[in-house]
Amino acid sequence: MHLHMENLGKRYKGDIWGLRNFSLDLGPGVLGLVGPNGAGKSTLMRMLATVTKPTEGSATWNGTDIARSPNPVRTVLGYLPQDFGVYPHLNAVEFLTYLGAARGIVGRDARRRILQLLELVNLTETRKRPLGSFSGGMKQRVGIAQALLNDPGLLIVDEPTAGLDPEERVRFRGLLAELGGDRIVILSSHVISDIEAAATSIVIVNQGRLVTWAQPEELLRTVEDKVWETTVASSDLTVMKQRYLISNTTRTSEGVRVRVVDDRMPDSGAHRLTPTLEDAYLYALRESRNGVAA
Amino acid sequence: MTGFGVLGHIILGDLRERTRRYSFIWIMLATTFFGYLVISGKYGMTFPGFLLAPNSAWVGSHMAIFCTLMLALIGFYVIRNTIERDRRTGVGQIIAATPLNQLTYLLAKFVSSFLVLTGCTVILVSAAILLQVTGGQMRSFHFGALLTPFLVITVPVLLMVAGAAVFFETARWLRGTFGNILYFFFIEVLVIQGIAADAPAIDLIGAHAITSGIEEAILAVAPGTSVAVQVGALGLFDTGSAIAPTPLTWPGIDWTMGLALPRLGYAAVGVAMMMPAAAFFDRFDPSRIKRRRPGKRKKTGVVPDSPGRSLTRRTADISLAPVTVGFRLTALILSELRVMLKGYHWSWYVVALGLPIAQIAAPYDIARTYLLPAALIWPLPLWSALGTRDRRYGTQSLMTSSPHPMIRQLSSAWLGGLIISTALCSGMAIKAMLAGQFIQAAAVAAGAIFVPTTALMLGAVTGSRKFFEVSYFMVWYIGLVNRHWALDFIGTTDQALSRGVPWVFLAVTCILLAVAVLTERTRLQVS
Repeated sequence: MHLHMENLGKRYKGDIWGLRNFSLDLGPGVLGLVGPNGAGKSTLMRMLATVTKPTEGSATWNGTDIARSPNPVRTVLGYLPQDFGVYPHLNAVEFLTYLGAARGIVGRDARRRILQLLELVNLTETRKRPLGSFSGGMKQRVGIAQALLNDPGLLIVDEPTAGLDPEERVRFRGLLAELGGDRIVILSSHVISDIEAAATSIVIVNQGRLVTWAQPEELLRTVEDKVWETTVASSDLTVMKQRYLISNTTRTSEGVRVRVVDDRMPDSGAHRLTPTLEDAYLYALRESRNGVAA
Repeated sequence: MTGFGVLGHIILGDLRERTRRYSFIWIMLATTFFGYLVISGKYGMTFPGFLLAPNSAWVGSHMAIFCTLMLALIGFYVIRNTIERDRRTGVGQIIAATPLNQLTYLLAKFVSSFLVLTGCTVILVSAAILLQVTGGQMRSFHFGALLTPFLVITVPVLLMVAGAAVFFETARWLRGTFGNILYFFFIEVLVIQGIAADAPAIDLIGAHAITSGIEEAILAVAPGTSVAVQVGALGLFDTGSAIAPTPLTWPGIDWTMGLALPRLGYAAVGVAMMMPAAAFFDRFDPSRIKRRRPGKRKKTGVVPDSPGRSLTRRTADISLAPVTVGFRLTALILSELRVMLKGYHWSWYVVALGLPIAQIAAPYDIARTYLLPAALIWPLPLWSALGTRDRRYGTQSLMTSSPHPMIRQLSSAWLGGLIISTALCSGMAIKAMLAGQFIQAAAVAAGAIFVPTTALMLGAVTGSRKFFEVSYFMVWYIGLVNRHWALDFIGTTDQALSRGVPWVFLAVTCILLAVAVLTERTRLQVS
């Protein structure tokens, strides 16, 4: 089970590159994909899901080019796009049966699998209701179920926790972590805590380029001894924001407590904090922007 | 910002969205082509035995009639998607949360629809000017005489069409296929009755006003002449007379109040339609849509979610059955049929089941003349979804990432459509075979293949169901209802069978299928 990307790039109309020179080599595990809006995460996922073709470079699944021969990877692929629709007049079982048939999953096995998946995503009781009457979070769970229909070897999920309530979000993170044991899971999310909970490795993408690819521990090490907390007057906050990378602020009766990520101690009253993945992510992004600017 | 300022910005935004779409370029190109057909004399009105001088009055009037006809018929389907787009994109919900009142919103949609139609009219006015200039008629060029028919005949109808488009989008029961057909009938009746009757109030395209004006001019130069009018397309109605026609100069219509006032009536109807439109408009509130079906409690509102499961229960507690992957076309077709057939009122299924049974039970001629055409229009909304459903419901990426998306999904959709057409026509096919009418049975089979194939091709190419619905309905109406042999693709007339029309359509079907396959293939490769 091996997914390899070599100088992958996608150009859109108007000579705009959604992704460029992207190389990665993946084995079983959960890859967390993070980056700001428009960084190229969804473009990458669409290319890997064979929905769109790369303009340059290649991606191979177990040695087979997925753009030239997409069907081998499609057979083992589970894909949850960021935006997807459902047929409003079908119920969840019928919709999953339809998608299963399109993927070659039919018969009693399929029926049993569908019912188990609906149990997994907590939709058993509403499985006979038309999808048109489902809330956004319930539709998202139908999307999760369809992505797991074929017991995928490669699972690509784009913002899967969007619309889920906190309880479902925690359950889904746990599910992804379990699935990542013996298959490749690519998870994109803006919520760093989702990535933190599930990912075995993390890729930070910015402006269509790979910024960092590391294990969570390695990323955390990049901000070790660089996270500070200090309290400043409200009037000084603007200056503080211009000077330092601020990852969080909290209003208190003494002023504003700020969480600073920087090589330097922001002021004499500051004290060190244990870094989080969010600190590391923001730091890596700033370094990448500084690098581009330089 | 003032009310007019708000209105102006919404109109502008809507116009920008419409005019920046590829479809707008196609609409403009199609309009230009239509103008060319009229200019070149390949489509238009002739008066056998007389040749009208191409002065501004005649050129303007002639073009205005056909411009009005085209925009009243086709223009409606072109502009009728603006509220639906807001609904589909979610912009509608954002608008609904603003202080904007619904009448202002609908008025903006009405004006922008009218402006799109006006854009098409400007192209045809330009074409009319071009005809005069290139035809060496600069001396007789009179801008006022050329423009007046457009202002008096076309513009009021455009206002009516724009109003109807907005109204048909707001009234839920008029949004779909039923609305498309109803509008077509309405316009068709107005056009036919308007030409035939001496009643300016129903002379929608102004044809009667102009032809009777010309008739007077003809009678003035040739008293006692029996004046005939021919409306022709691509020389189909060319009389081929060897006698040189008499030149005739027509000064144009003297627009009296009696003629002009009914035109204002069309404009008023268009504007007035905003009132019922505002009453029907749900302001993108899904609960307002569902309230109209009190008997269907199961479907009302958003269903409550299942109660949360304890977090201590791990996902591993639910063991997932292993799956074996092995494609079966029959399973996919069955699922396809389920998707196609779900969501209709029970009465629809009763009629659908009753039609083939009635075909067997009824006398042969009744089955052939009435029940067979009925079977070929009843499933129109099912067929028109072919090739468009994934785009309509946003499931493309789910389908595209499945193995062999083109061959599996295209074939299952086509076969699903074919099963429905075959099932609904099966009674007539069996009846024909029992009666020893094997050619008729084969013609029924050919027609049953033709319809879903056309639907799939047009759906795949245009991405919209409207194009198939309108064009197929026209073919069905002319060929199977009016029984014009040239479009009788299923052989309801002996003339069509003896001339082999169904076999021509069968040959066309093969081409259409190839186009559908190529379109889908290109779509998958380009992405």
